[in-house]
Amino acid sequence: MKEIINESPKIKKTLAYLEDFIDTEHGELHENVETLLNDYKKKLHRLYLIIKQSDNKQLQLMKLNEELDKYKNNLEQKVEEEILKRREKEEMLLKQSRMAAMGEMIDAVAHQWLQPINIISLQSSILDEIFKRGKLDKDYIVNFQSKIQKQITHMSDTLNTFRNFVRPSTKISTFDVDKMISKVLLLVEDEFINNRINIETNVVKDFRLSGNENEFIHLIINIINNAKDAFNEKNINDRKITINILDNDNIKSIELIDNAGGIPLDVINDIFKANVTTKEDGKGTGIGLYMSSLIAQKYNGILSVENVENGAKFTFSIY
Amino acid sequence: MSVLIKEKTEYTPRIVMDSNKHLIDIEGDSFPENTYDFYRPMMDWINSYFSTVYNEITTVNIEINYFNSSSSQLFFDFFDILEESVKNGSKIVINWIYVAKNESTLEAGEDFCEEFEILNINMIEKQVV
Repeated sequence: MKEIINESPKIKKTLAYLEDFIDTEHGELHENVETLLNDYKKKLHRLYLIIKQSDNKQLQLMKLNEELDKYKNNLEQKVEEEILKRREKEEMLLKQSRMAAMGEMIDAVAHQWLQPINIISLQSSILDEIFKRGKLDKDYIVNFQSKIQKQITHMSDTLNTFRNFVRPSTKISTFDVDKMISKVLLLVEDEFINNRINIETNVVKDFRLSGNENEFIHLIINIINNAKDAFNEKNINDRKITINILDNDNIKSIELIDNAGGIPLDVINDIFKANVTTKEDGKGTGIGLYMSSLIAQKYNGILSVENVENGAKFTFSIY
Repeated sequence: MSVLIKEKTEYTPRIVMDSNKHLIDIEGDSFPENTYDFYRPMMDWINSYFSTVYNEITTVNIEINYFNSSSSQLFFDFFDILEESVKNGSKIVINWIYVAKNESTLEAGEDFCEEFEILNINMIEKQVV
């Protein structure tokens, strides 16, 4: 059989071709296959690196997401902390503002007390003279007691109003606005008389407010004290503050109008922001109107301002 | 001699290629919508540049913080061109700049260092204040 194969010319030719192929072509094929294989290995390795790099990036993104989740979870706590900080800051500002107002009110109380003390002193000093003249009868004593009691009541009222104002209070009540304004006037009356300021109150239609009355007293005092300072700084002669209490179509408002020259236009839009003052350097804290605005907001009210003829008009409105 | 500048976007890096200064700068993140389209001008420029430059030292600064897998693949092609150019006699200094805390970018730079031993790749850590 082997011989037959060897003898066949066709097979001989084929074998010769194969021998030739193995000697020449196979080497080239081998080289080509090896090159392809190396290229494939290189590309496979790169693909592995690309996938590894991609995995690393994905891992990094997952870590960042975890951090983001933690941050989100802490956000609520941070918001609460910030609210607390802000509340503390506002309380501090309120305290500062109250202290500033207190200084002025101590002056006011002193002024308020001067006149009754003088009257009591006068009544007391003439008592022995009346006795010597034999006029010290029962009627005189009743009349004397009445006069002295009236002065003491006036002093006591002044002091109580002052004490109620300076004592930090969270007491919420419903009160008449015109009575609240009367308390304000009682506190500042003499001080304003000394500064030749006429205060006129028009109760067009009274209404009641719910809240901490002292805070509203504070709001009003801040505004009228600013007017007093403006009158003095600008040396204005005819000084007038008008307070209107109105209740129109469910809009309740208190208007405080002065003729102290108005607020400069470059600051009027920022006048309720903290640290904004129109007063001379060192004379204003920039707290008073900011606090007044906060008090208004606390009771869902709005405090606004506009310049009117010869002065400024502040309006506290509540719907 | 030419200058190619591509401004940085939210998803693509700033690319500056200046043949006068022999400088290539790539800086930013790399998430192009179509990576090969985006980088084609850069690859064309670099092929053209290394066919004309001879003795000058070319500086390549790469600062990529985040990149997608197709960008990674393109960087291999980019380094292939640089490797081929070095084999042909070009002098290239490559600075792989990474932010200190970005470990994945550091590791990617190390991969390129191992893969392209012939290239002079400097790993430069950048401190972010």
